[in-house]
Amino acid sequence: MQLTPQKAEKKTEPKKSLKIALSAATATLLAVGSFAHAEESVPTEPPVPSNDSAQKPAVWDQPPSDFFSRTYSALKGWAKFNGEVGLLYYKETNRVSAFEPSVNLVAMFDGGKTWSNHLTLDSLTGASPNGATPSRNAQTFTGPSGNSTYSAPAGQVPVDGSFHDTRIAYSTGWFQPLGEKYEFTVGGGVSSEYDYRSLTLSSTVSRYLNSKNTKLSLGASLELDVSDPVGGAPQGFDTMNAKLPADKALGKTVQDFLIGLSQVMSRRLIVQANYSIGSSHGYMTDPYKLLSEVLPEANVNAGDSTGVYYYEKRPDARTKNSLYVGAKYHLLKLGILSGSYRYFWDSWHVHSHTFGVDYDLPLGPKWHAGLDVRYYLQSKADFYRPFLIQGEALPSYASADYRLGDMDAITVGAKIGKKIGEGKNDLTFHLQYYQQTPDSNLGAFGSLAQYTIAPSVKALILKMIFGF
Amino acid sequence: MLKRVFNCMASPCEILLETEDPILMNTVEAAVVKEAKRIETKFSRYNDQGVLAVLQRSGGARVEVDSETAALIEFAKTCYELSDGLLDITSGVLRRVWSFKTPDDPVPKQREIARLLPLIGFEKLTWNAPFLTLPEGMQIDFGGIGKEYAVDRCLDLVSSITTVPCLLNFGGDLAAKRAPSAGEWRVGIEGTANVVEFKSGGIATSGDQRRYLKVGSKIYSHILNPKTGWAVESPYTSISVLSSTCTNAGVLATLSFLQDDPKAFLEAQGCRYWLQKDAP
Repeated sequence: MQLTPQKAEKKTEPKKSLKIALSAATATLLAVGSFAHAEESVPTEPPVPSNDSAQKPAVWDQPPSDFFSRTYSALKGWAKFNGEVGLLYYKETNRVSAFEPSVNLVAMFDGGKTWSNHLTLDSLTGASPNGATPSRNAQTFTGPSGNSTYSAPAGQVPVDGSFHDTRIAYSTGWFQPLGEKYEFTVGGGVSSEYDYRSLTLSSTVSRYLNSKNTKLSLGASLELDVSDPVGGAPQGFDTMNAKLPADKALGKTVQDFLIGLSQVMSRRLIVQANYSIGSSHGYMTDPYKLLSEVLPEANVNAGDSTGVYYYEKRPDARTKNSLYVGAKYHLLKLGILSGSYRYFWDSWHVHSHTFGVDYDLPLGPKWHAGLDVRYYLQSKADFYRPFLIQGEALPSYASADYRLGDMDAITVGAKIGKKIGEGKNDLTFHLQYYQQTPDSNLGAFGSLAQYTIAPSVKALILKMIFGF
Repeated sequence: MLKRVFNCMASPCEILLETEDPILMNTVEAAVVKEAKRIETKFSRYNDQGVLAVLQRSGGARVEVDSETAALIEFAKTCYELSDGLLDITSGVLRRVWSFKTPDDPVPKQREIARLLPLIGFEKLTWNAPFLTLPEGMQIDFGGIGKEYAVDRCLDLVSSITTVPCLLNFGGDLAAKRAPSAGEWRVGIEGTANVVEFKSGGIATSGDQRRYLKVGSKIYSHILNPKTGWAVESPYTSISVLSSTCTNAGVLATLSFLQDDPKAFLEAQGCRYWLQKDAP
């Protein structure tokens, strides 16, 4: 075959000025292009078909290829890892302190598949209010196992100083895109402490719409918990010294469903809304919380403890609802501003509002800083009672757990971080101050009126996070 | 470093962003995907409603084009002039005889090619921006520029959103605005042993590992010489060029293929380049 006619063609000599002339032409092209883009990003632009079947084949005359799998597999091996090691220290004034190391390891595979692992060790020590009211006299309490006692000085909120626990929790999740439009996650977790075990399974399916500007998610989770309190599980309104049925483990199941929507509003703004509903069934009483019985108002010693303490009792069903809206706004070089609001309500008539604002600011290529503020406002559960009154019939349910009372709480925090090594690692310190203030108007009378029944909580939280 | 993958312009496309903020990544991804699909839809040869189809249906009449199309035609004109006619957006008609579906396809006959040559030549167009007259039977396409242009456009869009280092890779046409904190971007070129390392700029690769014709020991690449209508016979299977932008790199890579001595040409241009010599 004679196939050389093009050999006869005289090819051009390279021009020295070609590169310069070309650069100038490209600069003009891209400048006009950006103008054209701005012009056409308004709705007059014909809608881009997001439906794949509407897309034409082989537009740029290149057959589909497995370019990326081959391009990067040589560099990445079978997966790329990154993760975080965190240390959290939590200290309440005169109360509980917690030390919580955690490891987060994420393996990323080709095609956007991700396997994440999270391991936390949680170690709590210190004293926690046991639910009883302060009294004019010193009070002595028997621990749940019946063979230890602790006492509270007159006038002070009784705290159980034997409070210590170590919890270990592991969770894992698999994430993967399914085609171009769907994402799928499935996960599970287990946690264990000496009197409580928990197993969680969850899954989420997301669908992208509207050229990936909209993401719709549906999720479900199931949690199975077993509580095996030291000294047996009180069945509600058992008195403190009653012999509790020993070795009786009690279970709880929690089902949650979530529907979420996230929407890219512009190049800089993304908004998100979630609604979740969950129902819990089973043993939800805190087995270590007590209620004081006090003398009625008519008594000469009104407000004094009668020396009888009841274990609390909570309903064995709870339906929780939560509505969340949040937005993130990208301020370009000035960082990212996020705001969120959550409204929560449940069948125990707890209602709460949470407002949060976060600001993350890059400080040059190495440093970054942030500020965060959170405000929480809660109205009490309908069975919340700071104490019981002698002679009155026992209610169906009651708890003096201050976490179920009327309260508000504020958290303020600041963080600073720096990229270290060759920029692959990041070390961040995050300091937060938390203050929870319960409603002081709890109907106290007689000798009780002089004391703070529901304690406020002040805590410092220091987190150190090393990302790799 | 976050990564997102999508398909556009018949290629797997990839966004690498040096951030751990998924919201920022979502924002960048949404903007890039939208812009890439916009360019694809607008300039696709296969879109009946696209600019090219409208021009091809004009039946020799004068058509007013929008500013972006005008800029691309103007750029193509510059390329045509700078390359002495070796880069020509009217050469697409040659695909009727050069399909490159399999390496064993018959090589077209000289008389088949000769019949098409009268339909090729930018100088046969009447171009008075923004008015184009395309003679009956002729066609234009931005096959050699479009994807590179899309990469550059999308990267400009990313830098209007964030200053975070970003690499875009649309099926082997790459551009990066800033060096990653690791120092350099490292990207393997498909079908070659070449791993390119660069801080910023654009890289384009000409030549294709699957699209060629083999006749005896001769390899015809899918780069066509618009003057002769013949596919280029080259000692190289692919040429990658680094330049300030992906569009620049694309033009230089294609043009180098059309030279007798691509290496000398690229040396004379003073750009970094990577040649792949192994026969596919």
